[in-house]
Amino acid sequence: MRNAKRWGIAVCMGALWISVGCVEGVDVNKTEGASAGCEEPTEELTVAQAPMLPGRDCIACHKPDSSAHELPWTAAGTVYDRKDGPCNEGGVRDVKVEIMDENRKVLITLTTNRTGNFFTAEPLSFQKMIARISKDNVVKEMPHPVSHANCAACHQAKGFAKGHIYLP
Amino acid sequence: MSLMLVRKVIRRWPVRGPVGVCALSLLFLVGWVGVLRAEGPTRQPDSPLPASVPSAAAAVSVPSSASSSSSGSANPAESSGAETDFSFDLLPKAPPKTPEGVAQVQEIERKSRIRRGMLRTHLVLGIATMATMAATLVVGQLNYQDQFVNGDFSGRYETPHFVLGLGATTLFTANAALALFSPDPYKKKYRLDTVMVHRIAEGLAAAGMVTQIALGLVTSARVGRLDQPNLALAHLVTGYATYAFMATGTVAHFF
Repeated sequence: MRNAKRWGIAVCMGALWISVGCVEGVDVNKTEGASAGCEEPTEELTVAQAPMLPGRDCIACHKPDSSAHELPWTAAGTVYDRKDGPCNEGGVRDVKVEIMDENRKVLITLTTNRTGNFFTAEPLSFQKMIARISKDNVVKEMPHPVSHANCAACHQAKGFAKGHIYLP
Repeated sequence: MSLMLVRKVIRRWPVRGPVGVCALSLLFLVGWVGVLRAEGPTRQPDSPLPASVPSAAAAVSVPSSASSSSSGSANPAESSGAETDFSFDLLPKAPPKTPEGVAQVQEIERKSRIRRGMLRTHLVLGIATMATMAATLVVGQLNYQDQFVNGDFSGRYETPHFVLGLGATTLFTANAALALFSPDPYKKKYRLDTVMVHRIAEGLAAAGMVTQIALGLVTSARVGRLDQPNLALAHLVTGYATYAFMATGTVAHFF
């Protein structure tokens, strides 16, 4: 009886430790276009949490009819410290990202996390949008408005913007 | 015994002696209050025992010169040889046992056994619930720090927190069921004592647990929304409050 109790406690503790260590990874190559021309991610970056897969096309998965349909984003992207560089590193933390409509009314303000990612599921209503990023009195704003807030769709090596969103 | 202890304290610690004496006095006071307020099966005047149980109130016999009642009943003190040879009976003869009375007594004993077993299990489960809840709190705080304070978002505390929360909820519910459904063979008046404090505190803890479950589900569903950090903070604060109520109920019952 005593041994059974000890085994029971040991099994419970083991299960708890295993659940602590085991967090599932995401395969970015399963969804077409999600990799956005980036290199293979590290194991840590595939953990399904907010800092995951910086520089990739977030909304390729985070939309209603895709693999992460339970968490659809209305705006998402990554801010780097330079235009061209690897996707896995170089993300800038605590950058203020303002999504504005065509009249420059700020619809939402987001802050990048430790890998430079920002995202939101809040509904955004606009015909055209402009994004502005700022940190430590350094401000950059999009020169032209666009019709969607899927930033990585354009801000990738082979995209319209020919490189990352960056704040030097 | 207590005075010897006090003298020992004063001799050993001349400076801290008075402080020690005050502390000891406080401990004794708390202990006596706990003893005096200890719950036990008390018989209330409005719940008389069955006829087969001899009444203790009839045990004391009244001298025949002072008593004008019960002259017809057997008065053991009146036996002629009682004052000289001490061969008197303190208790009157027990009334004849009726089948209904015997059955009632047996029913009370049966319910008391069940109640005793259930409340012992309630005590053990209660301690297990407190321990699990404490672990849930710690892991929950780590999860909150990970996601909303330092921004690491490692995700390593999410599943353990969920599992521990589920365990704490299960234990709490099982424990509450043990207490609520235990049989009550003795009628007792409700009064403001440690048991009532325990009941009130654990009732508030139950409300806190329900709120926690709701807040936890809502918070985890609001990823990417601007109100998620506020909901997470509310979940954290409610968790601490729930644990405080639970601890109050536990401590009150021990004293």
